[in-house]
This record gives sequence, C-alpha cells and structure tokens, in this order.
Amino acid sequence: MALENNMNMILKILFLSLILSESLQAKIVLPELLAKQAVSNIRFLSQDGKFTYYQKRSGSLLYSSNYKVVELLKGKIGTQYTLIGSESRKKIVVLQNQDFHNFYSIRANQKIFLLNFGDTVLREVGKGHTAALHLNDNWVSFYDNYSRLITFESTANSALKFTIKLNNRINPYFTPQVIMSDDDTIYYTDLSETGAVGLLQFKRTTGKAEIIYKANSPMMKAEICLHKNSLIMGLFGINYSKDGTVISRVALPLTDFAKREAIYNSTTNDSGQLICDYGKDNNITFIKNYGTNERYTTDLVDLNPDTKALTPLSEMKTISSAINMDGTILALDKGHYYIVKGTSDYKNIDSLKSLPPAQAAEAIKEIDGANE
Amino acid sequence: MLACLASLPGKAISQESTAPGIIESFERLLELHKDQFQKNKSSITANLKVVSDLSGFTDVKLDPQYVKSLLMHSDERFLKLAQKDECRFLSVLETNLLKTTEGNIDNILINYKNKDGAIESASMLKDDFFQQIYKKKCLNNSEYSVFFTEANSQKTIEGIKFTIPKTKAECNTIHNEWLDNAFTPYLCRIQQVFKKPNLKRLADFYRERIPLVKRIYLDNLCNSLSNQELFCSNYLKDDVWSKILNSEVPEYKMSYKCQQMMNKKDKLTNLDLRNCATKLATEAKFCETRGNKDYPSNFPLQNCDVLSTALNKSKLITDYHDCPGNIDNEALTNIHRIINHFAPRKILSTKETCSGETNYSLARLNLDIKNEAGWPLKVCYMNRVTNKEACTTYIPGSRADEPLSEDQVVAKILYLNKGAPAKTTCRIVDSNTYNPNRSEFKFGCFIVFSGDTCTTMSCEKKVIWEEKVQQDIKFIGTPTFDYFPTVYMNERYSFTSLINEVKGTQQRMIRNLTDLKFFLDKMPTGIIHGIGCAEDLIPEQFQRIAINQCKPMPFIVDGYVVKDGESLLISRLAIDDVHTPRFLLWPNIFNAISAYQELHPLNLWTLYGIRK
Repeated sequence: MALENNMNMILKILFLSLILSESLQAKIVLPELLAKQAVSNIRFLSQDGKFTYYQKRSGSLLYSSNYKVVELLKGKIGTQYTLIGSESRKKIVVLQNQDFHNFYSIRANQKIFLLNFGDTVLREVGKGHTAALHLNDNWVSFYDNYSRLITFESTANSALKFTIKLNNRINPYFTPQVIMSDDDTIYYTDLSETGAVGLLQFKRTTGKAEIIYKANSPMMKAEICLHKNSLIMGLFGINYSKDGTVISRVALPLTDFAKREAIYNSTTNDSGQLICDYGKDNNITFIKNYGTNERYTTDLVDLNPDTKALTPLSEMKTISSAINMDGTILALDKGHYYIVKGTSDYKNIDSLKSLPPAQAAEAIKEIDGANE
Repeated sequence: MLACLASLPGKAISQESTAPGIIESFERLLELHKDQFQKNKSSITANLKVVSDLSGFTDVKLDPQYVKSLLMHSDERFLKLAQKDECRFLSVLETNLLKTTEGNIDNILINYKNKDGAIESASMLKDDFFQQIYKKKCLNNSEYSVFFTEANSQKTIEGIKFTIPKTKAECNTIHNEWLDNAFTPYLCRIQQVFKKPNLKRLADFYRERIPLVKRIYLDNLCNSLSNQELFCSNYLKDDVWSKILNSEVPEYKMSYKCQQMMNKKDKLTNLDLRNCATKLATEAKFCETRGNKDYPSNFPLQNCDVLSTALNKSKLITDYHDCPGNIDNEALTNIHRIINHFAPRKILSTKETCSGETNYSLARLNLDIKNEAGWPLKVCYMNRVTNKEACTTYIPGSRADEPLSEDQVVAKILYLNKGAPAKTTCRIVDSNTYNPNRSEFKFGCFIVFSGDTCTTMSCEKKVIWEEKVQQDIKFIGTPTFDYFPTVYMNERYSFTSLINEVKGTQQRMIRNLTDLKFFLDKMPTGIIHGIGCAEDLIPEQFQRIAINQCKPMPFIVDGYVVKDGESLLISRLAIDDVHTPRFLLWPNIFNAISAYQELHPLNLWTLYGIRK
C-alpha cells in the first residue's frame, strides 16, 4: 500500500514537473514599437532615441531632436519618404516619392538625397530606387529599372562615380542585390537570358563583370550580404518550387566561390530577407518558413554561422518583413512594427511602450493631433 | 444479331485462303477478302437485277460476303454502335459510318427470295434500299433520318442534352446511354462531316448551327464509342486544360498562353490547342518560364499545376493579353482588367498594341464623362498660326475607331501645321523595325519608339515625316490619378467612383476572409480588388529595408480554392501576366492592406468587392 502511494506521488510529481516545464517555455512576446510620433510617420529612429526623422501627410520630411524640429524637404501632399541607414552610422540615404498615392510604380525613379547621420542638410545625388550605403558609408548605390543601370557614387566626392549595366531583359521588375566589399570589388545579382539568377563580381579596375555563380533554375532568388569578412549568399526557392533554401558563406577576398561553406539548408523555401549587419552579435537574422512551400508560416530566426544553430526570435507566424533600423531589428506583422532585437529603451526617450495599450493609444492621439 | 441480316458463309476466311495465320499480316487477309469481294460483286452484277422495289420479295437479307466486308473494313467504334440490333445496324449503314473494301457505300448487295421461292442476289442503290427496307422494318429509322436533314438538324440538336459527366459512374451511364440512343449514328454522321475536306461546305453549314461545345462533345463521343475509358478520361480530368478543350472553360484561359509558348502569330488551330494542352497537363514546369514572351510581366511565372487549379476557379474575363511591363503605372493594368471584366470589348492583342489598349481603357473612362483632367497625356507641337506651343490630348497606340489615338492625332497635327496631305496616316514602329534605307520608310509618317521594353515614361518617341524628325512634336504627361480617393474633395474622380458612374458597378469594403469568400460565392460576376504593399503580398520577391517602406501594388482576387482547410486566394498582382494567376493567403493580403492603410492619407482600408 505504501509502495503504491509512493508510486502515485512520484507520478504526480512527474506530471506536475512536465506541466511546469511546458509552461516555462513561454511564448515569445515581442514589444510593439510605439513612439511619440505615430509610428506610420516615422522614417528613421536612432537606436539611442535621440533623434527621429518623420514625415507629415502634407509632404514634408522633418527631423526632431531634443524638442528641436527642422523641416528637411517639402514635397507634394502625400509624398512618401524612405530613409536607409547602415551599420557605419555616418550617412543616411533619403528617397522621395512625390506621386506615391497616385502613380503606383515599382520601377518609377525617385529623387535620392544623401544626409550626414543625424544631420539636416541634404544633397541630391540622383534618381533611382533601392538605394544602399557601402564601405563605411563612403559609397552610395541606387538602381534605375528603365536603364538597368546600378549607379555608384562616392559620398565624399560626387564626381567619383561609375555604373554597372544589368543583363536582365526577362523580368522588368527585377531589382539587383548589391554589395561593395572593397574599393575595387562589387558583388551583384542579375538574371540570365533564361531568367536564372546569377551572382557577379565586378572589378572597377577592369570595368568588367564575371559570373561567379548561376542558379540551376529560374525558380530561385538570391540574396547577398556582407557578414564580418565573409560574403553570404542565400538561395531561396520561389513560386512553389521544390528548391528549398541554402545559405552559404565564403571568405573575402574571394579566391574560389565554389569552396563556399553551406551554413544553413532547408528543404522548405524560406522567405529570406537576410540581415547580416546587426553588429551586436555574430548572428545572421532571416525570415524562416515553418510551413510548407504552398502555405508559408513565417517567423524570424537567428542563424549562428559558426555553430549553424538556429534560434527562434518570434512566434507570430505571419511576419512579412524584417528591418534593421539603426541597430534595432524590427518585424512587421499586420501593419504593426515589433522590436525583435535591440537594446534601445524608448521608454524614457521616444517610446510610449511602457504605457498600457489603451493609455498609449490616447497619448499617441494627443501627440499626433498636436503634430499634424 | 448480324445473323438476322446475313448468313455468313460457313467457311472461315482462313479455310478459304492459303491458311494465313498469326504470322501472316492482316493486310494479306484484307487482300484475300478484297479479291473474294470483287469476285462476288462481279457475279452478282453479272446476273444483275436492278431492283428498286422490294415489295414483292421476302426474306430480304444483306449479301453475306457484303456483310463480311463491312465487318472487316469498318471502324471498330461504329461497329460497336451497330451491334445493338438490326435497326441500329441499318441506321449506322445508312449514315455512312460503315465501309466496305471499296470505301464509301453507294450500292447495297442483297439476297432475297423471289415470288417462286428461289434465292436471288441483287444490287440496289443505297437510297432506294433504305427507302424500301424502312417500309418493311425499322419504321422509326426513316423518321430519325428526317430529324437530321440539313433543314431540321439544328433544331433537333438544340433539343438533345449533352450531359457532361462529373463522376466515373455517371460517365459510364452516359456513355451507355449514347450507345443505346437511336440518334447517335445521325450525330456521328455530322461529326464525320468535319473530318472530310471534300465536305467543307457542309462542315461550314453545321459549324454555323452547332455550338462549339456540342461539336467538341460529339467529337469526343464519336471517337470513343467503343472505348468508355477514353470517353470518360476527357471529362473526368481535373485539369483546366482538358476542360478548355471540352469547352467547359473559356478557351482564352489557355489560347493566349499557348500562342506565346508555341511562338505562333496567328490564331491557334484546334490541333495546336490540343498539343499545347497535352504539354501543359504533363509538364508542370513548362509554364514557369513560358507564356509571356512578347507581353512583359513579372517573372518567373507559376507552374502549370498551380495555373490549372487557379484557372479552374478564376472568374476574371481575360480575352486579351496585356503587357504590364510596358505600363508605368501599375494601376492602369488593374483598371484595364477590371473594366474589361465588367464591360468586355474586342481587344486586338499584339505586342505593338497591348500597352495602347491598356491606356485606352482608362482614357475612355475619363473622356466619356468629359473629365479631360483625368487623362493627362498630350502631344505638344508648335502651332504655325499662333506661333505658340499647343497641346492636344492623345491615347497611346493605333486605333482606327479612335480619333484621339496617337497615330491619328499626330497625322492631324502634320496636316494642319506641316502641310501634309489630308489623308496622311502615321505608322507606329519600334526603332529596331524602322530603317530609313528601306523604301517602305522613305515616305509618310512614322512614330518611332525604342525597341527595348518601352513604357510611356521610359522611352522617347520621335515623329518622322518624309524622313525628317519633327523636333517640335513632343509627347508629355504622366498618368497620375487616384485609384481610391486620397482627398475627399476629388473623390468623384477616383477610379473607384468613375467605374461606378460609367459602367454601373457597385462596390463594398471587404474586411475579412469570410466576407471575401461570401462576396465571391454570392456575386456571380463579383471580384475583389485592392491596393496593398508588395512587400507583404509577395515578401519572397519584394523586400522592405526601411520602416514604413511600401511599394503600393494594385491586385485582383477573383476566386478561391480550399486545400487542406486553407483558403488559397486566386490573385493577379498588376505586374503579373494576366493569364498567370497566383495563390495568395489571407494573412499576406491583410498585412499588405494594413501596411498601406497606415500610410494612406485618408487611412483608407483599400480592399473592395466590385460587382455589376
């Protein structure tokens, strides 16, 4: 009898500990990004929260810091601004689309300006889209779909510029991935005559591009980024293809791309959107598909390229975008931005996230009302 | 059954011949039979009694050798039809579906007992034979024959139900019913007319009177009378390509794609379509890269299996091929597709005209209600009289019935300002085609545009008249407009208001998946349209790299399929090929609309159901 009681007790303890251990594996709850500005107006928020670039529906781009507000640009009503920074935090690229709500065009060129990080003086550099900063922010690049030209311009000397012409004639909406690993070397993606994506290496000294990788099938997209001293390439199957995902890395300067190391493999097509420049840890962040190729279930994960270990960062299932905004990794889900990684505490500076949702909404309403 | 028609000779063929067996070919058997048939026919015709009236004879039978010839030379499928009973045999013979060694039948060889009770042979003209025999037996056959005369066939066929089977059991029943149906020989006679080039006039006659769907049904039926599996396989296939061949689904869902895949300029023949359908049904990857060659759009495309599933349920009327890659403003493509769903017009689809047609749809929507401000494209030129620059509205492309079409507007400017003849016409050509060294380009007016992917904004056009570039003639304007209203003041001139006013459509907001499915289910012509951020609609292609970045993308949802409990929404982004729908999930659409709503000046939820 006593033995039976003991057994029952042991079973109960095991059962309870099982329940406890399950409840301890808490669901990942991400804080929503809330700020003094309505989040939909924010175009860039510094990681220390000391300054914000935001826009108004009237068409202005503004800078606010320590109760100082400066208007940087003024456009037509409804003008949309996009601000892109980098890990180097020296420059910011500004794209201005004046016909955002009445001329829906993936390819339409926008005005591109350059701004010193945290500054208010703009310099127009050209027209195009999909701009990026490179090499310690010493270079800016942008792409023009119509001419199929990638333009590189020195941020220090506007006279220093060069272009690369894409081969792609098959997809009018293709946008190349572009990185500059040193003053002489650019890696970029392009499409072959059959539509298969390729990775090319362009040397400024020779003015020539060389194909270093070509996908087997047109049903794949390629993403590239720089991580530490390595070139990372992600290949992701698209449109229900069964190609799956491969993320690989190769040391720079490049000697033999064939010797790249696979750091992640999946039979499922992941969304991708590699973030390699977070800088505060050694990980590469991307959107993983936990569902099938027909029905994506997407969440953010960290990939450690050395151990190849994956760490889940979210449990929202429908994340569509991952953004590195000045060292804060944001995820977008159902129109709301969530802070995935980043130590910045907006609570005391530019965030209202400590307030309960109802109060926060009220407070934002008040601020928005005052600002608009 | 055939024994009642003819007493077959006691000797088997092998016994009469030099013992042909399985080693000897069937052709040898036929040769032997042919000889035998000719000898028999000669002997009958040597004692020929021209018979035109059978009333005095008894025990009238077909000549056994003649019947043997019918059995050996007729198509198995028609023999299957003939074997039901004596009357059916006669109707199959009457309708020319059976053959002898001589091919078509003009005379019938018969045996009969004369008044003295002696057996005699005779040859009768086919028409005489049936006229007489139907007086003795199978009286209904003569009435059936009347139902299918040229004068009556249309009405008769209109009254016949051509049931398309949905299940295997139903299909077997239907096939058996057709075999039992006394009309089937007469219907197959019509089907055979389409197969014979020398009956073209008659084929055209029937083509005008029998709808395509019934002609295709008949073709399938008459080709598979002896093969139930074959008959059913064409109806029980789930793929849309088979349904298109059976005319269950409109042909345009496949024909434009196939035309591109097969690199054909002219309309595809039925054989082309069949070949294409076979390819699409058996090689899923074929569709991933083919089908939009001359009509630039997003790439890669979808595989054939996805397309088949989507097109099966897709409602959008797409009897044209547009070219989103040649259009700057994606909203124009979406509008073109919506307008032509609710008010389809005849559209000439060529790579030269596709962008003009898209522009024309919105231009007419505005110009029909005198909203010239809604269509900003102008041709500007130096007016000789006022010596000032003047501008006039134009619609890109060439249209004979449209005075505002680009070619006619430029021709009129040349006539009024440059002294060109009144009948001047302008030809729109790409720079690769235009060659001033060739005689065809020496005289007249040419509007020359870039040979590369060319949109209104991306390529400059030159007007060349009598070999000289007309420097003062310029094309200006950007088609900017509100798709959904962005300010309350101009709400009337947004596309969503204009289409309601001009085309009589009605719209209502769609907030959730249940509502979306309800709308598509309940509104027969209803479709969903909206604008959302491309980064959320297809995040695998468009990446967001900055906060609140958005590429607004118009799109249409025109159906859904449920697979493993999940609703797959049949969608076309404005940049997608119109014949290549894709599946989107509701979370993608919800995310896309939510993200755009955050940026919209009126905070508008931009997803609407639209119906007429």
